[in-house]
Amino acid sequence: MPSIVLDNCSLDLPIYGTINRSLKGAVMASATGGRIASASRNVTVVQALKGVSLDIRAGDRVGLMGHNGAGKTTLLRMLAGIYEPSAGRMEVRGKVSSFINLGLGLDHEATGAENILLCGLMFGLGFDEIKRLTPSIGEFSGLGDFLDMPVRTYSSGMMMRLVFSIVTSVHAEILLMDEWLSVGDADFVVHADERLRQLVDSASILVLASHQEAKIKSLCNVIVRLEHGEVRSVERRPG
Amino acid sequence: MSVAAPSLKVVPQWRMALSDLIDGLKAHRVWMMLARMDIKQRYRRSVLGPFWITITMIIWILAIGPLYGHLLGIGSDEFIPYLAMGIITWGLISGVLLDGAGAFVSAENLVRSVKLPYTVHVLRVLQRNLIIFVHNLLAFVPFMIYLGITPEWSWLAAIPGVALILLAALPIAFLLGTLSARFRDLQQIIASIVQLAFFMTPIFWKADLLKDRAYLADYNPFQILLEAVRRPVVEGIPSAETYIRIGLLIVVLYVVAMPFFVRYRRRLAFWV
Repeated sequence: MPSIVLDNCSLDLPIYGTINRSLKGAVMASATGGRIASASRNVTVVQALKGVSLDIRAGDRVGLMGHNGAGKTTLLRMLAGIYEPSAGRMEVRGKVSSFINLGLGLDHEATGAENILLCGLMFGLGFDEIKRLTPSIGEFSGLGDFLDMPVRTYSSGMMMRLVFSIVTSVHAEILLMDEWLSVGDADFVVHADERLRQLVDSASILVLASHQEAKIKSLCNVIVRLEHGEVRSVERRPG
Repeated sequence: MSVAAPSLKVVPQWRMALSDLIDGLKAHRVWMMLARMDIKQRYRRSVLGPFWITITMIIWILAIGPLYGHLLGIGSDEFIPYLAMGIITWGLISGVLLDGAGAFVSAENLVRSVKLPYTVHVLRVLQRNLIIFVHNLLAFVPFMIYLGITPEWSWLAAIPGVALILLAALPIAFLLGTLSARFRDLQQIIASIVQLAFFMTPIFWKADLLKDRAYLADYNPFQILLEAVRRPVVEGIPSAETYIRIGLLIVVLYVVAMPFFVRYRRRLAFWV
């Protein structure tokens, strides 16, 4: 059974400017005791997440809410395993499928169909399985003949359709999604919400970050509010 | 909702790095596909496609071969195979070095969006350069026909040579890839060093011209790797000494690079 347990997790994000990304700068700073390139010695560190504790069980649909910069995407990246917590302990059990940033991770020069193949492989599917899934992904995305066109010719809405169709088709136990879901047109959003509802059964977990309170309330049974990297409240509703 | 979970245990970093390596090797379909798409993308709108690589190489050998053969006073039928195998193999060595340094930086989007073992990005680079190398090898064929060279069994010894180069390239890419993610000017520095090494290494001149300064070639790591592929084709099976040198070089590279990767692997996502 998939589960996500976070025990007092924090994450410090180092922010590098141009000076402290330079080897010359680092050498100069060490040779001159930091006098010449003094600004380069201190890397700004932002504490993106502070003492986050969560207990997410199979069947949970978790909605992450919070204003811009509250740490939603960072938390998703941590759950995906891209960032490791700098303090605290985290255990994620189950196969994760995530597409944190829309369009990042797609090969823009390759066609939609090639990207389905690539993403399928990245999520650990075999060639046969991908071949079997491709028609349904194509159909759900509604892209039709555009699947044979390079992704760079797609609008952001079309890219979203493609990515959404792929990540919801790979049958991962844990599905992480950022707020890019809102790029789709009204038709597709209805379509997509319906699929999300069907997808999460008793054996899987969905974590969705969004600003849209109404959407989160209608889709999720656990609502986590983040503020300045801290969990403000966790609301668990029956059903 | 906070839970006391005594079952959560901290996994040591070396174990995480090891599973990164193993999972990366297992995901061979992913990096092979990524490498293939890299090649395809580079030549997507050209008629000859990847064979441009081959043609470029033929032109190089045609231009440099007779000129340097003449300068060194060596006949074309001896010098051209030496030069061709030298340049082609150099392409592989310099390619894995330069691309290896950019392994993580150029995969930035992927690193920050999808969880993949970091090893996948390194193996993608190695695979891509291996594909280019095979295309380059085709450039040798017209010269073989023209000079009437027939393949010999000893040529097969070049295959483990290529494998050894890739084995050495893996730790190099981990090391340089990680460092270049942190220090962005490193890639330019590496590019200049590789360019310098191209002239310092016996490729379009011969090591025996060094006479009493033979150590310049003997201890040149580029030359050591180069000989594992070039010598089987040009002179016959390399001596045991060549393989001992390569073995030592590879051991040193792993000893230096692996602790580094274990220590900084988790920071890579912040650096790219």
